[in-house]
Amino acid sequence: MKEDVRIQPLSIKGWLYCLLTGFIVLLFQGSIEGWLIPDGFGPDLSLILVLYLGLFAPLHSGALIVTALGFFKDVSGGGAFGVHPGIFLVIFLLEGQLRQKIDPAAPWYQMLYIGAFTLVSGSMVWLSFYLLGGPSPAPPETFSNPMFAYLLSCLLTAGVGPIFFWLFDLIVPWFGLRTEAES
Amino acid sequence: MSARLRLIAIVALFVIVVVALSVGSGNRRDMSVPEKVLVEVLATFQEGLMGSARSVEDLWRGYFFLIGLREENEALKKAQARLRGQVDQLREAGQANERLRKLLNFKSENDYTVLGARVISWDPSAWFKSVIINRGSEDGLRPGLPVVTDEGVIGRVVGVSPRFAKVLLMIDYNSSIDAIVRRTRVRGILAGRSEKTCLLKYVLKNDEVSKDDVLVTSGLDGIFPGGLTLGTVSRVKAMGPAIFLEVDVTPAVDFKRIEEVLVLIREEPLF
Repeated sequence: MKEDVRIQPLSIKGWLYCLLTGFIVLLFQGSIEGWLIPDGFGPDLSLILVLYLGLFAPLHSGALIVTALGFFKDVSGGGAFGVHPGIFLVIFLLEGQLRQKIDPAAPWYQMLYIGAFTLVSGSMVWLSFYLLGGPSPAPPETFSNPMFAYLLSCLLTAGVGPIFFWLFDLIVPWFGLRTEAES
Repeated sequence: MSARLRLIAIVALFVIVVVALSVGSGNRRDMSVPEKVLVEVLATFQEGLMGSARSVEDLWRGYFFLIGLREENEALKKAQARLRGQVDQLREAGQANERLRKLLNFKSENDYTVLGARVISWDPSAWFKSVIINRGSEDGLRPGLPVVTDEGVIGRVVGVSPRFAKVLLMIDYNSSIDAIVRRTRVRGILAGRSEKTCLLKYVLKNDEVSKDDVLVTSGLDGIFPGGLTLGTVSRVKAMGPAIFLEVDVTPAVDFKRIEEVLVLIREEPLF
């Protein structure tokens, strides 16, 4: 990850590229990933994108984009409409508080960072349904041990996270988030 | 943008999310227009992507896994001959049944048109269980229609766009199906939990349910016709002083591998 990236306001092109990237990520997550890993514990690629945006995107436009990504995710799947926009927004704002203090440049640091936020995301799903008063959704079940499967899912998300951070780094110029040297 | 405006924008976003949650957690009949548009666009690309992936898979299977093909072919021919005999017998039984029904003036309970569909995408969230199929309102689908396979119940349609439909799987926590135990006719509500286990609720302690009992749809919920296989009882446990038993059910369908499904289209709702 580029260490000298500064937060720049997003251009219209940047908005479009961010939303398009989110669309492609969800496209892949709902089709190919679900087909290759049918147990449902595949990495949460949309969350990885939200975490990346949380480190780079400006507050107001980034918040809108991650909320939109959350709505995309809810529409393409089941569950109560509005859960993921809320979760993504809270995670984005949390990252906003942290990004001045940390810089997860090293892959191992990124894995820890992503793994921690994946756990936070899962806890928020449970909390949201507890507050809504309905039955709690079961986490992905593999090996007949839901908690084990959920932790496996977190590990997988954390494991592939740096790869996707690297991929997103390659298209950062398209987002309009230029380095000081390039701007 | 000033700090105050940013705060207002963030608060406004939260309000929108809370409103969406309030609306979304209620009993929605169908998808809204923006949802339909998004599903149409997303599912169109997913259908293309899955089509390509399945072509590659078929190519792999067709050209690289020819070992045992001849033996498998012979075995299948024998099985086909045996099944043909069974089909003939069943056809006879079906015709006799129809004659008897006419005599007794019963209305046929199976006034359904069966429509095949293919699963083109799975829920991107691991917490919820739904799929999108490549049939929509243009094919006569509407929310509430049952979706099955030859193994048993898959779920029901919860939203349709012109060319695609969202199916809530019976293993989703939001799913509830009126069920009966085939052997003893004990009735309960089958609630989805996970791919391996569902929960049969409201079974009284005195009701006769045991391990390996087969669970079928009762036909009383107005959605599923009666007699469709749901699963098998895997565990029955009395929970202390509680009046209900805790009954775990293993779904009949392997939800990890569903590719083709059947939608049962009835002209009029049951109720």
